[in-house]
Amino acid sequence: MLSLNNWRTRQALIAYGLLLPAIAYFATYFFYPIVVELWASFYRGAPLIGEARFAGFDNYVQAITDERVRRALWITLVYAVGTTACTLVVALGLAAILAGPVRANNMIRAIIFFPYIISFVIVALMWKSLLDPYTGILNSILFMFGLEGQNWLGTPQTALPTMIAITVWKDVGYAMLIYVAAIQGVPQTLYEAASLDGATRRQAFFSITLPLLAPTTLFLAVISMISHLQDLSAPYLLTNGGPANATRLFSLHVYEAAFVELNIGYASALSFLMFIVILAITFIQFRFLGRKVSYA
Amino acid sequence: MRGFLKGFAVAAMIGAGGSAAQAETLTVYWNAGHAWDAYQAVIDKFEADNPGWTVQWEKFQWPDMRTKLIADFAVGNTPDLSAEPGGWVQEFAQQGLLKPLDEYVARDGEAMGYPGDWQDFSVNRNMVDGSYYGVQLHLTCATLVYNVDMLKEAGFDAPPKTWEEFRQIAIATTKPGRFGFAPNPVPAYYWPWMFQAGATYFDPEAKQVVFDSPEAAKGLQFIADLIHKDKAAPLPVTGADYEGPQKLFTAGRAAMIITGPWDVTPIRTGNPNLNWAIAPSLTDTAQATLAGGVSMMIPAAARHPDQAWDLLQRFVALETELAASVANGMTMPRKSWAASPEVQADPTLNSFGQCLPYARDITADLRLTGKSARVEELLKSAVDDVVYNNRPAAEVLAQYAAEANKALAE
Amino acid sequence: MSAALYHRSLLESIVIYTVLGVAVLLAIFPFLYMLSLSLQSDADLFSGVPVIIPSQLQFSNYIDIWERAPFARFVLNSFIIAGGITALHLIFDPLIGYVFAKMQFPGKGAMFAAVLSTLMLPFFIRMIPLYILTAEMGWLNTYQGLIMPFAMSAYGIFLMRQFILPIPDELIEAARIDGAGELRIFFTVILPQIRPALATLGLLTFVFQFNEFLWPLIVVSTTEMRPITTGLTLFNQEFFTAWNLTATGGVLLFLPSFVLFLFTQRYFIRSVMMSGMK
Repeated sequence: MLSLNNWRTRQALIAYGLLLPAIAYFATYFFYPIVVELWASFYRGAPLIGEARFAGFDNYVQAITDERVRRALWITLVYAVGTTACTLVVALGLAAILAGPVRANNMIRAIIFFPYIISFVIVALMWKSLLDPYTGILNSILFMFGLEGQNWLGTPQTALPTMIAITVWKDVGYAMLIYVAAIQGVPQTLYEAASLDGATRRQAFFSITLPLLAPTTLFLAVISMISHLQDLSAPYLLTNGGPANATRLFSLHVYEAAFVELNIGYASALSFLMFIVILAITFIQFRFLGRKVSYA
Repeated sequence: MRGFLKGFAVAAMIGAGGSAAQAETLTVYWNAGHAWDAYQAVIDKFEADNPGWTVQWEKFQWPDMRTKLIADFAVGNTPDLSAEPGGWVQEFAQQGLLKPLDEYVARDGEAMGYPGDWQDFSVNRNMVDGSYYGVQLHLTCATLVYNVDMLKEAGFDAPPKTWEEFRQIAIATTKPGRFGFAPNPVPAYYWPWMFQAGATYFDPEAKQVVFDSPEAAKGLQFIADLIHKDKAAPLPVTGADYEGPQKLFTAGRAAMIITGPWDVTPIRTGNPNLNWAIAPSLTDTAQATLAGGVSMMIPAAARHPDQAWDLLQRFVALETELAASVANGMTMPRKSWAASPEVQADPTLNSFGQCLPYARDITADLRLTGKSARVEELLKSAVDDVVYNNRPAAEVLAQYAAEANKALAE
Repeated sequence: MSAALYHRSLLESIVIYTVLGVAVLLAIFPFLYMLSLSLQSDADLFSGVPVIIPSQLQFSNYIDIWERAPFARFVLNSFIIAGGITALHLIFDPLIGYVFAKMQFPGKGAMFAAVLSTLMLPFFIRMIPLYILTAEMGWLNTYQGLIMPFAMSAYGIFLMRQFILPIPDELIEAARIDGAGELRIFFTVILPQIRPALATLGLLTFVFQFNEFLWPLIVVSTTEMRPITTGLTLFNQEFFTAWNLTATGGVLLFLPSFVLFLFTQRYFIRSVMMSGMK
């Protein structure tokens, strides 16, 4: 027993030793800056840079009572949920096809995946010129078919859906690949059994494949939500939050509070609010979609 | 922990050959769009006159430069001299981040003609509490630019002078795929209309915004109606860039836009055959338009403020102003520049130059409250609400002005 | 679903290939359009109607961009920065992932949760304190200043842990009985098992770091140290974008990722797919 205890202690010590670089790294580059920002969040003005005075919880009170903050949170939620849901549905549809026998399968997968690895700077550049209401190619094509073009990113009603569509375009390839792998991992015997029971292919897909994809869906939903709840590049590069604040995501709101309004203290408070929101949403996803992915 | 990392840093730097800063480097931040030959020549001359000195001329887009500067201020690792697009001088000076230039101006002001030779408001907008913190480099104003052929085709030989004429021409020149007027998404571009109707932004006595006046509502509503009722103007394209109207105009798809000297080069290179001209600003109850332009400032943490001031003086010398303006169509803040024969002989420069006397700096007084960014953002929301959501201007402006005054009273 | 079980009707085939055709076209068209933009002259650009096939191919845009800025240096910087970060990830992420997957020690759950929590704050929030820290270390305008803040990632550690978890404990126990230390086990037993995962991690890290903008913007203070992303902004005018030159820069920015992807795509696709099965 003693030797087992000894062994345990030894292994723990080795583990801590191996973790030392990570502890140093995360302490230096994550937790120290976060503590500094936490300190700044209790100051009014421009702590760290210029003038500031201690203000207790004033920044947090202002953040919670500000109607624009609530609006930004709501838009962010719509954007993140919309992007995630559309990405997963489209990806699943494509994966259902590409998991089967299809010609040029590898090439098609590679092409659809490619936008995922491209910088949003380029994505924004391309789509803004394609969607330009007056000189863009999309409206010209619509015009050729006798349809009326839209000011896609310039009308409050269409701006957010357009931004979601562009993000889905970029993300869908990754989710598709993960789904293809998951579908191909479903044991053949299950389909054979279903086929003997007289199930059609569609029935088999909905009754066998889909439920087995739940862990994959959870994984994809969590990483997509975490990254899009804090998305800055899409609104910053595509619309700057406009028109009429229709695409003003929370991150952009925080970024502008800090770097445009020079309201560093308030921006810090907003970021902690955001941290709590993301944490809560991630937690809810696990609760609702089930703890099927081994996560911790 | 940090000591350890520092040690590592030093080791790594020695290993990598390091990038130790030379003692005699003058760092200057500039807008990437203003890296003109005339300024390169100034820098070359400075380096020739000061052996051993190198000018590190770093160019950025304005929003990027702002982010970088704010980070730089946090560690005192600032440039020696920086350009700014208007408004930052007062904002940063109030935070104690800039070096007051009073001593320099007292010493060299007479020789360089500062402030006497500068258009008056270009001096005021760079002052805080009676001290100089910046010097105007470019002085711009926006006015009406029109497509001569399109107006002729619609039966108008001269550009409009009043709102009613403007509206008629805008409606007459609108055709499928073509607009009489292309508005800009940036709120500043709605101020010419509000000024012309007799509105003001801010009352420095009461320390309140007054853009909820009937005059302001009239100006903003005029453009909203042009878009939504007359269908003579498109909804502006959103984004942080200012180029939407210019692109339409250059492509011959808009008969009139409001813009300033910065769009001269893009229009000329984009469509050399376009027959276009510059008109004086319109008059409703007053003739007015908005003014702006780049200033230069020396951060408080600058390592070489004396050399920065030397270089600053060279950038605003009359010969430099003339060389830079004639080549690039930019207007300048010196009165002697406006009066020079070169400028008088250049129709483009002269037309824009003539607007300078009645041009106004929109936010100069507001900036001294230290809350202009917040108020500007509220005004942007108000303008967007009227332009994009087609809500009545009077109602929207009243709502947002109340909110702005609440923020100002805080 | 296997072909042996289900045969497609002609109609089904038509629908399937139409859907795929549209998807491929949608994925690829924006890139083709950018390529076309990058070869257009100002006249095409401002003609007021969108041009898909340039009236003449203006390769001078590429020469222009090369002459107007030290673009070769930007490319080199991007490779050094993204390459350095990728190398660090490949060393540390699997090692830390291994510790969390296979070793027992008090505080493991809390520490792992702390690592994952770092995913939930956007980078720009830490940016100013990080910048102050980097300045105190004397690392402004250096490669290490650009590389170190991204040396590891919670996502990478999580991914590696997911791959290492299913490796049978017996393999590790056997090595331990043979007297191997943990580091040796890691290098000889673990690493060979997770090669595809390392490929995914390496490629994704590289392309994402290649695209990083904000941190280089503030840390770099001389033009020669800029990576492509911030170097590209030199080509915008004050109030307008030289679309053809920016598009040229865009093509040059995505070209390295594209070439890398072209040569590794089979491996890449397979390993991304494997990462999803865990």
